[in-house]
Amino acid sequence: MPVNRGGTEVYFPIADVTVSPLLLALLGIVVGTMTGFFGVGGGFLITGGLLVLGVPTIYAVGTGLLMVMGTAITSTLRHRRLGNVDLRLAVLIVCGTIPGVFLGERVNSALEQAGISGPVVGAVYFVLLLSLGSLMVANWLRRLRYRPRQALGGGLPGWFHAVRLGPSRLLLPGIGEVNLRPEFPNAGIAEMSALVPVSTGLVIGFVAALLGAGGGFLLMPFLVYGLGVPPAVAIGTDLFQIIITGTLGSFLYSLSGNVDPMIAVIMFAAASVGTQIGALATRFVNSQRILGLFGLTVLNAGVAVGIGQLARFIGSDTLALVGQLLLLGVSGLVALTIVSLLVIAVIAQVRRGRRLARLREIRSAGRVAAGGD
Amino acid sequence: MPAVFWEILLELRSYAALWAIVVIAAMAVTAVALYVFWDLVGRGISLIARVLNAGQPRRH
Repeated sequence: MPVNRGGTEVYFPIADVTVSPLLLALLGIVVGTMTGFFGVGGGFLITGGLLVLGVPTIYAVGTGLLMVMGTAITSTLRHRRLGNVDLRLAVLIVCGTIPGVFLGERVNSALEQAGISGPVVGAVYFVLLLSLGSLMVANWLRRLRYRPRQALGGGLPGWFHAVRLGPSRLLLPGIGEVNLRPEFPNAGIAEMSALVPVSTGLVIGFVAALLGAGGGFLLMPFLVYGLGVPPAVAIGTDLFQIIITGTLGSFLYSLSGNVDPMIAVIMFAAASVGTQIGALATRFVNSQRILGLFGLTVLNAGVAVGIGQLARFIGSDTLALVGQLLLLGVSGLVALTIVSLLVIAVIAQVRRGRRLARLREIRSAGRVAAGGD
Repeated sequence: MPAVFWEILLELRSYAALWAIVVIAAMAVTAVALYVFWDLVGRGISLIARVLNAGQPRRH
């Protein structure tokens, strides 16, 4: 039964863990701000954060997926009028995502039964976040130094668009000829093999279910850097995919009883505050200009997960605390930077408005004086 | 949280399929409720701003 262990820590009987709800809420606000601003589910931060806070791996994964699902629903509802979804691309990705999620959940359950889920998930997380974060930061720095006019990802999109997987057309009895190299108009892709998004979805779904993330932190960069999809369309298409991964993944994890809805709801309620701040910031600050900050957060999350795993391995509480502080600290700093940029932009706009109003007053006063003469 | 609430949750957890549906539905309802809440907050702020600007001359 729930026991308040003194101070701010509370016992959650479903996950059988004692965590501070304040830390959960703080993690939620940070994740929400990043989600609202960068348009990704934030699953890598949620599960990584829960792991650092000491939640058992299988519960961190399941609860992370449940929260990702909630965040994706709210974000999609907010973005529904923007039309930033390439439905053809999204549906093809989802076709691969569904079997990928089933496969990922089965593998994670098998790893849990073998008692090695924690180290394996931690190691995969560590490698993925570290390499993805380094790639994003390096790309951002290169663009800052040379200011190239070429598309994001260099020649990668061209390669993926040209790659030939299987036949170009398929003749189905009763249906007719099906084009297997369709156009993706919203994504700005003239022609690409349908198997590229399907296989992408399969990999994303597998990794997402294995790690307990929506897969946005992998899919979003792949769509932008790999397929050359405009960032706004990449976010919309990504969110559509996250709803499917999140719902399916959390359903499967709930069936095995490995989800703590109370932890998810506390974090989600806090995240909704952050989402509003992040979404508001996008109106005033260009997120592309500080995309490197997102890469830095991903990189830092990888380091923090690595430290957390090492701390568990050698049984060091101090090292675990270092990992916890690093994850929440750097992510918190990035969230704080977003809030500061928002405040600076709002103040600048208010001052500009006042200056314009004063100018208008002076002009009208001048006109009245001229009319009087 | 009252102890009875946790008892119900823990009891419900033994019915796997029902538990999964309840968990998903609860999160979906929370998501929609939070969206509606923040939407209403946004509309409220816009309404207040409009009321406050009502007496001011329009910008051209």
